[in-house]
Amino acid sequence: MSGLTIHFDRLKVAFGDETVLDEVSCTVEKNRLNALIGPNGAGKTTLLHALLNFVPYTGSIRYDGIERAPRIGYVPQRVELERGAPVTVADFLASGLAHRPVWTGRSSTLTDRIRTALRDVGIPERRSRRMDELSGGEFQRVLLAQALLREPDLLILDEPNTGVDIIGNQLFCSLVEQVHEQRQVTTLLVTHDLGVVADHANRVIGLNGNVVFEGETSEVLNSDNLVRLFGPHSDRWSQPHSHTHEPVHREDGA
Amino acid sequence: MIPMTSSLLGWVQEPFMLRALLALLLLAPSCAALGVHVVSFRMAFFSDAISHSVFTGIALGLLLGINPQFSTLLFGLLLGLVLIQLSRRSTLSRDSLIAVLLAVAVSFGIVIVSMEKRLAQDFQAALYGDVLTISNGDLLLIGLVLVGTLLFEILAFNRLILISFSEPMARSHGIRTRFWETVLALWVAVVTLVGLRVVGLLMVTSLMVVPAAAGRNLARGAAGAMGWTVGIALLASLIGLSASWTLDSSTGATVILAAAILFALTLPFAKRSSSRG
Repeated sequence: MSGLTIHFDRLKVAFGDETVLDEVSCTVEKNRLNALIGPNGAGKTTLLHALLNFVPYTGSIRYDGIERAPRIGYVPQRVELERGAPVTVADFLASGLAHRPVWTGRSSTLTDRIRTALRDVGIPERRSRRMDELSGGEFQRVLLAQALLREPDLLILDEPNTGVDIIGNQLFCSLVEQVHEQRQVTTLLVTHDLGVVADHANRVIGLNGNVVFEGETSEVLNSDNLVRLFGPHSDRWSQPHSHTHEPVHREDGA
Repeated sequence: MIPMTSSLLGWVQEPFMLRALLALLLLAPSCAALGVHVVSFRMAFFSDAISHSVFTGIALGLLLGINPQFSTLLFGLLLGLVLIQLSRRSTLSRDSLIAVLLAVAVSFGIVIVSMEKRLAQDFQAALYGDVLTISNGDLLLIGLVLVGTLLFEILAFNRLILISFSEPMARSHGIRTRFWETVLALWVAVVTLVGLRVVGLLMVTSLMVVPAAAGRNLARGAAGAMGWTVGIALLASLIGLSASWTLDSSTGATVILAAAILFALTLPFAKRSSSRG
């Protein structure tokens, strides 16, 4: 099966005198849900930014499995949301796709694509809602739809659970897993939530300036590795949550 | 100031008033359309600083012996670029930086004008604008700015929506975020500097912000916001010009007052949004 594999080789990123990533070598495996975990300041977002070419780096990032530059769908960690902004969900999604300005309207083809994308993330009826009228969970789903509309080879989610409650977070992560299984797109999920990693990720990369561990979730997500990554108080997180692979039916996104 | 007349529409027989109307109808859509972004990116204070740079722009024109309109445009654009660069590099907030540069731009100009009394008339015109003495050259410039604004809104609108939500997300779409933010700031500076010839520096930011704020109250989406905003700006221009003829009042200020009244009328229609949670 085709798919995108990413090899980081001796990646180094420094801001002035401060080295954030040092000799990072790891692999994001094709068509799998890869989780990137680590303490605050470990360089997780910096690694993503290197991958997205936002920051200069030394070393190499190699793509295997496709002949062209990879298309990347990105769900950001933080989004500025201005109350009262006259931007509907459809405007927002169209602005990432359309060549013509969204204030001139949308083609029927584009409208159909947006409708399908919203159905895929479980909120088909929210197309005409203003962005500031969405709940936190719905907002995350719209961001996911925005990333999926790019038909990505790589889906990057940068701590998408920030600001979402526990239930909303579990629902969103179940949705990500469901989308991942349907589309078989290589996925890289950055998260602090080890329960989410245990429940949903196939592989884990533990990062703290460099790679502390990497491998199958069932093999590497254990007390020893978590203590090495987070310090001596992290072992209480080491019991994986029970798996809940139920499909997402809720449409309010909660 | 214009003579009182009993007829509200008596002004349509006066050629200078028709020129004023044309100037306003060409300028208002530019200001209003850009106002949509000025409000989204919280740039009203930025626009204010650019308009107040006219003090120093005129003073520099005098000192360097060049056309004050040219020196004003040049200095305003330079100030805009400096503000953008400093706000990216400085740890100070953008508002604080603007306040510092605004103080420098205004005080320097006032020092020069207080030394050169003959400049007082130029400053009076800059403060209040003078749409009734607009020249053919001014009309051409305002028309070109309108064409430029239309082009800007075609090329930049979608990109600015994505940038306003998340710069990294916009960059993941291949958008050169710094380039488009710079283009926005510079175009806001151009429209501000051209607009102050018509409505004056005290009012030009209002001509951007007030119709855009009113448009937000009525619109749900981007198309509605653009339509309502431009429509309200045009309507305010018409009402303001007519009223200034009848009331014998400053045209620029009366247009802004008309826009403010229209804004007040839109308030009951403002959509209440729930905060995310």
